Amino acid sequence: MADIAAVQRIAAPEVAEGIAPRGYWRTVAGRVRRDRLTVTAGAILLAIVLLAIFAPWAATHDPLQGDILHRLEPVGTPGHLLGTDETGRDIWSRLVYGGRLSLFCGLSPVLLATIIGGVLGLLAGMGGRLLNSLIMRICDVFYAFPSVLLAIAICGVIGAGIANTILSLTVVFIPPLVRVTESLTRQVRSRDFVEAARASAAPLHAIIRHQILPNVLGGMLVYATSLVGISIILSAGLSFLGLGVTPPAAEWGLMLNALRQAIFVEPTVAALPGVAIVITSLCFNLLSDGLRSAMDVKLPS
Amino acid sequence: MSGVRAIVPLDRRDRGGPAQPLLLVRDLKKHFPGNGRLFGRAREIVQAVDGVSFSLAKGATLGVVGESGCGKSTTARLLLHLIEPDAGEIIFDGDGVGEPQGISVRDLRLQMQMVFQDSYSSLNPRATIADIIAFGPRTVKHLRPDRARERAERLLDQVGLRPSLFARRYPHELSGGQRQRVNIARALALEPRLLILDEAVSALDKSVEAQILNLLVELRREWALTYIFISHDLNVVRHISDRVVVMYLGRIVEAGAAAAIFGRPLHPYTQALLRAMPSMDPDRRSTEPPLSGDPPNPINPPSGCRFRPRCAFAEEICAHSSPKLEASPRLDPIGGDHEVACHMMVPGSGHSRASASADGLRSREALSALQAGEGGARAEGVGR
Repeated sequence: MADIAAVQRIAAPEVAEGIAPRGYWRTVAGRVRRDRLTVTAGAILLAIVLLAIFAPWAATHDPLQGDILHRLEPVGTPGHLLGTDETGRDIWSRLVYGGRLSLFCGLSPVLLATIIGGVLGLLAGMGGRLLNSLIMRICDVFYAFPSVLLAIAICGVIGAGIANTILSLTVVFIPPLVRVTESLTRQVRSRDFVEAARASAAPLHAIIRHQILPNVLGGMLVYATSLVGISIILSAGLSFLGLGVTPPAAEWGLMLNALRQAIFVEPTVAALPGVAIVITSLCFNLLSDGLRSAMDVKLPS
Repeated sequence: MSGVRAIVPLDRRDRGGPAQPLLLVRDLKKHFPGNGRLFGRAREIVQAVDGVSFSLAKGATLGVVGESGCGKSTTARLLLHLIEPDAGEIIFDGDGVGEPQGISVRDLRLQMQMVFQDSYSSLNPRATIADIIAFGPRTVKHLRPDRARERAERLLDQVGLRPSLFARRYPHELSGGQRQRVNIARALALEPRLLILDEAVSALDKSVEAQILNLLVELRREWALTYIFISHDLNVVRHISDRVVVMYLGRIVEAGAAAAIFGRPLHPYTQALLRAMPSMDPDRRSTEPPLSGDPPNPINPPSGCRFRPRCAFAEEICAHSSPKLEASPRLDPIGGDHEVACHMMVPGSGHSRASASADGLRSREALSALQAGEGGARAEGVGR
């Protein structure tokens, strides 16, 4: 076929020297850094976390020491910048200390569920039909209960306390994470590049680590971070029912519940713990959105 | 292009010597269970590949042609054990694949690699080009990351992509031709002896396709590679292959040297395929479609010869017994081992166009009469 052979080899079109750094994860880090909204959300979250960690220094008062003469002071009161609660405790100090428990109760169930649910989802997605059915059908059983009810039931059985709250919320969050991971894994594993990796005689763990995980992790992270807000609110709900954190400990959800009776007396003060929850979960959502688009290297940064 | 090429330098991994075919496939079968009902009727079976046999000499290129859905790609995946075959033997350089004394599937894959049709979906969208190519050397050959990277950059250079420009890019930043070059580099990264090219150039522009074909020819010489070249594009197959097999509905209907297949096709299906190639000569334009209809459903293939429902010469015998792929006594003067699965080519088969005796000369005349009779002056038009 002279016509084919005669065509000269045209040099590959020149592309401007790329500034892309080595490796996928470094590319992602570079893209996150250029995204102002994500960086801002991350900075606010970092501030909240730091305030919670260094609460003894950030707080102006003892969070548990009330002053019955100065109950429900409004925002901006000298000495109590964010006011006081129904027993005269300083709101700022309680918010700062409460961040410790709230963040811990919000983050750790999600973190645990992401690890456990992610592993189960990958197994279900990569495994054969039997393993898949086994894992997914067990998850379906948990889906049959409303999540709050399930958390209450588990807590009710194993008893109150922070550890049990976390455990019950973890159980609640595992099934949806398994489902998300499983469906993402199924999508990715049917693509040609996974088959090409299999054809290269690579061991399964290398295929999962290099081919599947980078393509699944983005979706998982976005879903998991969207659960953080729910997790904070659910753990607050459990505390309200006396199954989680017990008064007088400072915790955002507990504060919200206690102050709700003062909503007509001092609405701004009563709303403050809610504001803290909203800001925290909003920042988590923004961060996860930013992470997802940074991980999708096809999108222009 | 065709014909036997110069002696291939002996690979250090060579076991069977130059006379041993690199790949011997015997009666390969894969039947997929269809969507049958759980209760009631028996489940339907798709006979995707039904008894495929061929041999492939070292350094040769085997072209596999056929319509969509004839089992070409399934065969490729069976060879690499990406799909487990139901039956059949695969013998790689004298070693049976998966047999106790033979070669393991893992070792087979180290020596047999594949380039996929879809250049985009066959590259991990979240890995740089260098990481994609270095994946095999790193995880299979356990090279240190920097060594694997060096190898990836060398390979990029060999497939005609400047490493400084492309190593750190992502697949979506490349054109189709560049991506297919990356795919080839990735397949070569494990230093295979056999490369399966599954419609590797079909999705490319004509000019890019020619570049990639030239690259493949170049690499075949430099690396002493053996190719299985799967395509529905007859021109391309003819350009690159030494031997050609024609598949129809999961079976091989004709096999032989490329010159023989294209110069003197024996099976009515091959003849129709060749007539379907557009002619450059306006006086020889085809006015009637040489083949009508779609291939029958492989769930319930026709009895006997599978081409029967679309064949102009089908007779009763074709419905009763399926013709075996064998060298016809109506031997083609061009190719030595030209095999065909058609009752017309078997003397005494019961088909009215088959001669009663194995008289070579007479049947050759009958054959040319047959070819001329169906308005196919094509045979001469095709020969070079």
